[in-house]
Amino acid sequence: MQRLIKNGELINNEWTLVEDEDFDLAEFSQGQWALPLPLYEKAVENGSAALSRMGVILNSDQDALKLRDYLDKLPLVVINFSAFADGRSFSQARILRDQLDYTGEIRAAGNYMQDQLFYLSRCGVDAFLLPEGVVVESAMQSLADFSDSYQAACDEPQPLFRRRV
Amino acid sequence: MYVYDEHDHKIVEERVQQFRRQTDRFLAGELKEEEFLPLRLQNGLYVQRLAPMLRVAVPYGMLNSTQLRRIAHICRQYDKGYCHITTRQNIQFNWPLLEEVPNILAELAEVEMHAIQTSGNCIRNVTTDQFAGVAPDEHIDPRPYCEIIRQWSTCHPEFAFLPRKFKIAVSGTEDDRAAIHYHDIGLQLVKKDDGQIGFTVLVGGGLGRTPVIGSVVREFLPEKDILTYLEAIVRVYNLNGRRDNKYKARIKILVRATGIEAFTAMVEEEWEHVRDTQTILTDKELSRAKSFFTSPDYKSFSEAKSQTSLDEQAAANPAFARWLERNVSDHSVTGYKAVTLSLKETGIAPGDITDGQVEIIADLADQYSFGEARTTHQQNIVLADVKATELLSLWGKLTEAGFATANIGTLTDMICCPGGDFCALANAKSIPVAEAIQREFDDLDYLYDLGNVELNISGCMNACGHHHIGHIGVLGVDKKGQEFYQVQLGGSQGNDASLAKVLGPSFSRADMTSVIRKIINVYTETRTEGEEFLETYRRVGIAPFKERIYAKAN
Repeated sequence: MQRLIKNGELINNEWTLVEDEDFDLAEFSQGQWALPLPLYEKAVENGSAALSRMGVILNSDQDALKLRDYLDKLPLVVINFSAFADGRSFSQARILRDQLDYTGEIRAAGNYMQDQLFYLSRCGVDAFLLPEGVVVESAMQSLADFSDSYQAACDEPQPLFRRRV
Repeated sequence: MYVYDEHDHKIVEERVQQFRRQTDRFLAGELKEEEFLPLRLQNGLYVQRLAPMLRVAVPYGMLNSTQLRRIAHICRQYDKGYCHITTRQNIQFNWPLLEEVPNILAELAEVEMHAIQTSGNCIRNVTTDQFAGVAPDEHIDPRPYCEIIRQWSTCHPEFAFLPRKFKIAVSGTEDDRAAIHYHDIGLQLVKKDDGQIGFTVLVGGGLGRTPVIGSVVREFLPEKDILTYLEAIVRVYNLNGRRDNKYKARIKILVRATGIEAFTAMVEEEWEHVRDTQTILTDKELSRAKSFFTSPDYKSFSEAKSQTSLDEQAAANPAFARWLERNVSDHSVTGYKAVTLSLKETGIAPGDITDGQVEIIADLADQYSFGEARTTHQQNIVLADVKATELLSLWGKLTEAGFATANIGTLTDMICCPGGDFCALANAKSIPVAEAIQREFDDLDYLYDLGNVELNISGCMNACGHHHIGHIGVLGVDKKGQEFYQVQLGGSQGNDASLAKVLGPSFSRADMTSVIRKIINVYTETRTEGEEFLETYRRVGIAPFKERIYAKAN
């Protein structure tokens, strides 16, 4: 089972990622499910009673602004890296936090790497489904690679120049 | 020049520690080659044809003598006794060992230097005019803004995995010496009639395979908005730039595909979301940044007196006179001059410099120029604040050290990438071509008669040697495993920016000197009184050059 770090701690993952867009929504009698965007949109359209147990998966090539109307009821957005070099996920997370004021969980998943943890956390990602083979202690250290930064971001609204004494 | 405080030190030191852990994991087999690749690139480390190559940032070209001495030490301790000045004002080491790179970075951090984002698909080292702060035609000193942009872009959490590399240049002068038309973002500092300072913002210029001149996205952006506006542009690029083909991934392709109006609208819309955030600059930060770039302790001199004594010295010494004419530039303060040290001595790879020479520059900077030196994108070194009364003495020392070749701005002051001798990307060697041309045109009087001719050589279409914007551009190409060279004419990097046109079929290396000789002959035979090479080319066009070079022997 993939391990999960949330808010800097190793915790149990209670969400199942659904990759199959033809997944049958009738199976949601229990559990928590992160769905591909089209499937989630269908669930909203159908007025599913299980919406509070549904999260959404945002792929690298999808527009974060599409989630605008759903965010108040979404407990989880999974940003799904297609490749670690695809940096769109970083901007997607910031748009969710800064422009759309999303306060629920943003979880990184897919093909990203340990060495991106610190930057991702600055961009508003607060949970990480660790890639295969990553040593948890080492990942925790990567998450804290820096103790200070120049720019404002989701973790620090003031850029360094406003904080220098 | 900028001085680190405890925050700057901490960030750079933590970066070194981060890279040390990453290197350890890589060497222990815990980090895959393809994952280590972007991490080492963003710390300046390439793996090249013969060895790794480390590119160290020289932010907007400024160095002090302490830093120069550390560079010399690194040349000796970790390399083969020399380094290389790049076309982006950076310094490259050609022979470091991968496992020693964290130690080199730690040594650099001690003297407020780093290699952060000198490579990779991220925001690169910001560049500007090598005469910033002393140029007579300067409206506004660009360096405080360069430093503000350096800090904003350093370890930016959102923009470390862009579709492709991203380069920003700033100019504060009438004459553009920072090539702002050929950068992903070019910033021209302007002052309105009411005294308000801001930027004209250009986007989408670039060289490489598809050379493009940048387009204006905003005529006037108030100075305080610069970081939020940059943030908007780079976010639009990060989300919309192509990622399916690395040759179509630069922002210039996005701007072209979207159209400049639609692109501008996207940027302005994004900017509405970020313009009122805390990232908007404060008066306090602007004055803090400016406080590092105040005038040094200049003495007062009488203009007439210092010019007369220079004229007398020049009259008595023709070699000194030639050097004054080519390698010495005017200064905004009376009695001072800016001196360019030529790294284009025949027989030395353009931009290469030994550890001993770096130390000599450090000593000369201390003795003659307030302890500071600058690198230039033409791969030379500038001492920017030399007293006119001390030029003769400095010239003597430069001559001894091999820096007084009086060829700045001439045909033999060429820009040249490391090419196939070092670079894994190159299609052809560039250094031997440069050397052959320097040997062919070794008569200084003849070179002066030719006036300003910019010759730029790249070993492949990635265009590190800026061949598209040379008056004469040379591009190495590979034809069935053989090295050939395409020649282009009429490029210009300044405010009259133009891209060079291809002359015709390419030439073998053996033919290159005679081709350049013929081009120069067409110029000397065609020019009118006082007409420069580029002016003649623009008047007569490419045809006469073509005819001469491709004429059938009969």
